[in-house]
Amino acid sequence: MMAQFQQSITAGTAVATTQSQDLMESNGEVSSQAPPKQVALAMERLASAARIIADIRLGADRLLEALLLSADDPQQSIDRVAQLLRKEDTSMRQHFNDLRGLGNQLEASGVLNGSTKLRGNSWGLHMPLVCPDGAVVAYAWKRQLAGQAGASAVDRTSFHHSFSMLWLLQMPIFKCDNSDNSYGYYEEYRLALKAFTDQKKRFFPHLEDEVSGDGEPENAKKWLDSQGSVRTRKADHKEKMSLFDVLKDLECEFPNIRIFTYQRLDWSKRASSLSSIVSENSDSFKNQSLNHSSYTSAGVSNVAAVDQAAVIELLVPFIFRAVVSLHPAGSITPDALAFFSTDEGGNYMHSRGVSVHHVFRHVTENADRALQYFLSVESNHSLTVLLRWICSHQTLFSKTCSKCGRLLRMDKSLALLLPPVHRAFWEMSAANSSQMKLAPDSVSAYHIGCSADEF
Amino acid sequence: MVPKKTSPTSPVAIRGTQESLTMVLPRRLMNWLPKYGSEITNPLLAEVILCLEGFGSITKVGNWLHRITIYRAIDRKGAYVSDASASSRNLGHKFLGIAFHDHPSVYFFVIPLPRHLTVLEADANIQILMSQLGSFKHSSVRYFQGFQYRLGDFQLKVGKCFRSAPENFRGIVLEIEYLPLSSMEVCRPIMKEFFGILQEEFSKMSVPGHLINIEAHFERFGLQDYYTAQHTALQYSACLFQLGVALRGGKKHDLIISDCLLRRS
Repeated sequence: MMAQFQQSITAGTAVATTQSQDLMESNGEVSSQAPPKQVALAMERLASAARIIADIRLGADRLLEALLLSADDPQQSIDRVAQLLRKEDTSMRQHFNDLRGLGNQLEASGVLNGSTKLRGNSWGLHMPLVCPDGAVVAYAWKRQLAGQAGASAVDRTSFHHSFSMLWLLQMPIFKCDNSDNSYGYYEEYRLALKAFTDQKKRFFPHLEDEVSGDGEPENAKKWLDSQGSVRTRKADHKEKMSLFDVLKDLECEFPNIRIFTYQRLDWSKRASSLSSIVSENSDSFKNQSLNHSSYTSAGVSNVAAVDQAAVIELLVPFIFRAVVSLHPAGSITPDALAFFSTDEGGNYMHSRGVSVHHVFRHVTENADRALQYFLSVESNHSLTVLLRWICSHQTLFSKTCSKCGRLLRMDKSLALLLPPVHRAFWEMSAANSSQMKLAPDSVSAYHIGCSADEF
Repeated sequence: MVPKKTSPTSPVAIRGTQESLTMVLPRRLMNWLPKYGSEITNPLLAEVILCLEGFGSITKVGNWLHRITIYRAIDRKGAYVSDASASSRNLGHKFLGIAFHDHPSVYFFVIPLPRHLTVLEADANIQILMSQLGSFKHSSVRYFQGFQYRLGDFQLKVGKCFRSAPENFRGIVLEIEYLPLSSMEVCRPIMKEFFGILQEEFSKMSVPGHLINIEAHFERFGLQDYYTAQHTALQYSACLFQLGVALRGGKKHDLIISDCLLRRS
């Protein structure tokens, strides 16, 4: 029942929006071939199709709301949720039937033909838009996005990504019936919804319909810089640390890790310069100590530079190089991260790039999951916890798997020998990450196959 | 059989201005050279290759051929200088020249002088110069030839060591590279475990003999932890001497040289 439901959602919206797009494009063409009355009729039908689609979307929202409610109190409202779901189900079916009828009518009138049907977009989101910097984006919300200063193509795709992830997660929910299995999906949905609303807040701050009820008074924070003078600084109302503080703490805890910050353009210059670095014996070591700015002895100018930082590079000499991007620049909200070998260089090295080596590719994959986890579970301290978790990868090539006790393992599906590339991000939280000062080796490591059972 | 580990990444571009003649070397990892104990025959090599090819998602990527030339000093009359102490030349009376398949434009010299152990790297044209200068003559050549495989981040070379005819080969060589790393110390646990896995595989195969890891005296030759092609040169020369010494029962200066090269643990 539900599987059909899911299919019909995607199919229905695809068909309907294909119709609307098609008519927009071929409006001129139709008017030259068909009399004005038919055009008007077709436009009217399309308008009603759009209304039905809006109703379907509202219905979907209501369904999600119902599921969210049940996620909050699982014990009490099962029956209520079930009722709501059934009600919505019938109304959605009605909408779809109407839509199908409309579609048939439009087809009969010759507006919708075979070739446009084939051009379906799997998300049913049309009206492609070309933004000023050349990116083609999928739907009309992006109009606002394109107008916003400073929103780069990369940011847009990440927003789109989380939105589509949200839709993706809705589908399995519709798939399952009202049984206990559905609670597993609620959790995933909750995480995806949280990620999506965070992204939404970032891009559409004026669309905030709910007031974040923090209301905490501003706190004054003090720290000593190298000159020994005391400076006061007010934290924002959510008590976040500044980027400078975060990096300084990290450097104190892990003295063998090199931390660099860059603005976005500077990073791309550095990435391409890495590919042409001379790798003689002594030179490589020198290069790995270049541009080392120590945060513990930083002066005023370094603080200013860090405020503009959009990319953090963590370098563990000879082991790995991790690139973390922040959005917006200078904040402590991580956006994406990727791992590379210390010898790699080139334009593909950025926080959304992939390494040429298999081991780092898998570490990056796991890191994406960890990033989403930290963003949803520890929203205020996500950067701190994330950076500490990255530092736990120092032992990537020496620590044995906590489950099977070996270093290399032949992965069955990939048929490759890999060291334990999964570090247990689910074990980390802001509370216990400070304990890592004592035992940086405490995060468990697993092979790809071994971690699937643990998570 | 000599498993060896190195890890080349793709060659990086030449840097222009200040250091105009310096070429960027691909980075390599440790070099372990095990070898089999008993008779080396063709079917043995075939079995070894078969065993390797069934290992995970290993794929064959090509052939390889390294050439090692043994140079000996000659005096004015053209005869070989036989006594090391009588030689007044700085290079000593016997040293190795190595040409690698994957570094076609570079030529390496391994000079095992007791007090000045050196690995030299020169342009490939040096071979022409050597033949024209006439101070040294190559007395014999050894070839290492075989197939190259790729298994994820590991790159393997398996082949045989022969003198003149590929059919009469004296040793089997296996070289292993781990691409993501370029420091020997960091790579050590990984290599060790890979070596263990390989030994396990080969022991299931019921072949006579086993793999031996050869470790060369990198520090004595002034080579650092960061792996380069010079390390490879040293490892191949160590391998050669171990093969030679084992098979021929070695002359005196051969033993001295091999002592310089090999680390006996």
